Amino acid sequence: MMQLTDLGRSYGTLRALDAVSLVVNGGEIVGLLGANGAGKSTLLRTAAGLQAPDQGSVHIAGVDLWRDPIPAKQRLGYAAEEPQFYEELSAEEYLAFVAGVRGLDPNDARKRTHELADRFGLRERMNEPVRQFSHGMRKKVSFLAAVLHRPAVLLCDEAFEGFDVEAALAAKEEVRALAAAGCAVLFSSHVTETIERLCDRVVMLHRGRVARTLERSAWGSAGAEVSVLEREFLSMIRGTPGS
Amino acid sequence: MNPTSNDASPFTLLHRHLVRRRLAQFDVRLRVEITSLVALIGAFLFWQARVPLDGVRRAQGPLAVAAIVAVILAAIAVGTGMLIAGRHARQLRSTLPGPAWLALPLPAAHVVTHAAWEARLFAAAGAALAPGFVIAAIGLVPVPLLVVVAVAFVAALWACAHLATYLAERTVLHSMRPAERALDPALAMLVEARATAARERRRAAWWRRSPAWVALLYKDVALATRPTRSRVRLMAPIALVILSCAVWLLPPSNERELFSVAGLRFIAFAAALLAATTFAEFLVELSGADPISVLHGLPLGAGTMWMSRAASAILFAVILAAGQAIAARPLAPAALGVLLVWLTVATLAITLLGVHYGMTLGSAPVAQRFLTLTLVIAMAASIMIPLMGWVVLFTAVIHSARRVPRWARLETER
Repeated sequence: MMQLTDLGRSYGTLRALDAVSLVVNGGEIVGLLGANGAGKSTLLRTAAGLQAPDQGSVHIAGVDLWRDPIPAKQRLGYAAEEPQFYEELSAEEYLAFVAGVRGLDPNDARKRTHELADRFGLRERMNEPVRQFSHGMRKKVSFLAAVLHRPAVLLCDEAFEGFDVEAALAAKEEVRALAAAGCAVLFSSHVTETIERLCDRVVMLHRGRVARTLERSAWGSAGAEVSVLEREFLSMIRGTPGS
Repeated sequence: MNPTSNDASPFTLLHRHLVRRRLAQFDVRLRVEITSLVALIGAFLFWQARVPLDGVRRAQGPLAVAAIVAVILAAIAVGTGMLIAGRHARQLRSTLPGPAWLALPLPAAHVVTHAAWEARLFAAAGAALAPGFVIAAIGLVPVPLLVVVAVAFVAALWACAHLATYLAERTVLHSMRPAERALDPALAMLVEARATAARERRRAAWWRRSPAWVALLYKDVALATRPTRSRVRLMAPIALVILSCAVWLLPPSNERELFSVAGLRFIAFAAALLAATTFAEFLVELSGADPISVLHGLPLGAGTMWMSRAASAILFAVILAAGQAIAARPLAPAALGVLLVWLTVATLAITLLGVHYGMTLGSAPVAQRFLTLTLVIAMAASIMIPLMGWVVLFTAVIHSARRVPRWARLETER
C-alpha cells in the first residue's frame, strides 16, 4: 500500500503540488489523469524519492520514504517518463546492475529478465548498448527495471508511451498480474483509453490539487480487453490468421 | 567537398551562433579560470624554454634559436593536426551531433564540412601552447624574424588542421565497404556513420550475487573500459603512474642534481601526486555520469555509494604504492618507507576529496572546479608555509566528508 499525506512541492513561485493526499491500496490500480503541468510527474517523482517534498509524507508499504529511504525503495518500482540510463551498458547489463543493487537472486533475476524481454520484444537487442535504443525501447527497459523485483508499489509515469502494440499488451498484463499479487499501482497517462481499461480508480489532478476521484463503476466497462486492431496486428506478427 | 559560399551561408550563420552560445556558456569565473590556466601554461613553457634558448643563442647565435622555436611550433602544429584528424575520423564514424542531417535538403558535403569545422575548433588548444615559446625567444631573436616565425606558425596550424580533416575523411572513405563507396563520398560517410552506430554489441551480462557497493564498483569498471568520458579521464592517471615508476629506471647521477636519488624521488613523488589528482578527476567524472533518477530510485544510501567509490580510491593508492615499492630500488629502506607512507596518505586524501566532491556537488564541472581550487590552495599554502598544504588538504577532506550524507538529497530537477 502507498500513502501520500498532505504532499506539497513548489518550484519558485509555482505551486506544483498543493496538499495532495492519496492512498493506493494493495491490489489496486489507480490512474492519474491531468493536463500538462497539472503536477502528475512531480507527484510521481516525489513519491519515488527523486525529489523531496516541501511538506507532507510518503509511506511505501508502511515505511516513510524520506525517513527510511532504503527499505522503502526496496519495495518500490518506478518507470520514468523520460528514463535515464548508463548509456554504454547493454540493456541486460543495466538490468543485472539494478538486480545486483536490489540484492535479487541472480538466477531468478536473469530468468525473469529473459522472460520479460521475450514478452516485450527485446530479446534480440538485450546485448546492445542502451545508447542505441529508440525512445520506445528505452521505455521498455525502464519498465522492466521497475517490475523486475515484483515491487509492492509500482509508479508508472506515462510508462507505456512509445510501446508497440505487443509490448503495450504485455505491459498491461504485467501490471494486472502484479496488482493481482497485491502490488499497489499508481499509473499516470494522457491516454484515457488505457486508464479506462486498466485502472480501478482514477484521480484527476488539476493545478497541483486532487480535483476529482472516480471509481471504475463511474465509467463502466471499457469494452474488449484487446481491440480489433490490436488482435489483427498480433495475428500478423505471430503469423496466425486474423478474424 | 567544400560548399560554395552562397550554399554555405546557413552554416556560416550556424557557426557564428554556435561559437557565441558556447562562449556564453562560460561564466565570468570560468573565463578567468581558463585565461589563468592558459597564462600559467604559457608561463611554465616560458620558464622551461627561456634558459636553454639563451644558452643556444650564446653558443650558436640567433638564427639557431629561431630554428629551434620554429621546429617546436611546427611540432605543435603537426601534433594538433593529428589530434584533429583523430577527432574528425571518430566523429564521422559515429552519429553526428545536431539534427537528423540526412533528412535535411542539404548536400551531404556541407554536413561533412560542418563536422570538419567542429573538429578544427580544437586548433585553439594547439594555439594556446605557442605564446610561451614565442615570448621566450623575445630578445634572443630579431623581432622581424620572430614575427615571421609566429605568422608561419599560424599558417602552419591552419594548414595542418585542414589537411588533418581532409586526411581523416579520406581514411574513413577508404575503410568503407565497396557498395557504399559507389555513393557520393560525403553521403556515404554519413550513411556509414549511422550504420556503424547501429552495429555495436556487448558481451552477455554477468549476473551474480554481491553487495550493492560491489555492483556499483563493477558498473564503474565497465564504464571506465568503454568509450566514455570517464575512460578518457582514466588515461592520464595510468600514464602518470607509469611515469612515476619509470623514473626509477634512470641511472642515478651525482653530477646532475635533478637525476640524483633525491631528485628522482622528488620527480616520482610529484608524478604520483599528479596521478592521484587526475584519478580524483576521473572519480568526479564517474559521479557526474551517474543518472540521478537511476540511483536515487534504487535502494542505495550515501554510505554504499561512498564505499564503492572509496574502494576505487583505495585500490588506486595500493597500486601506486606497490609500483613505487617495486620500482624505487635505489632508495634506502627507511627512505622508501617514508616515501610510501607519504604517498599513500596523500593519494588517499586527494582521491577521497574527488569522491566527496563528486558525490555531493552533483555536477561534474562544478566538482572539478572545487577539486582544482582546493588543490591549488593546498599547493600555494605549502609553498608559503611548509606542510601547511597538508593541513589545508586534510581539512578539505574532513569538511567535504561531512557533506556526503547530502548525496541522498540530490534531485533530478530543482
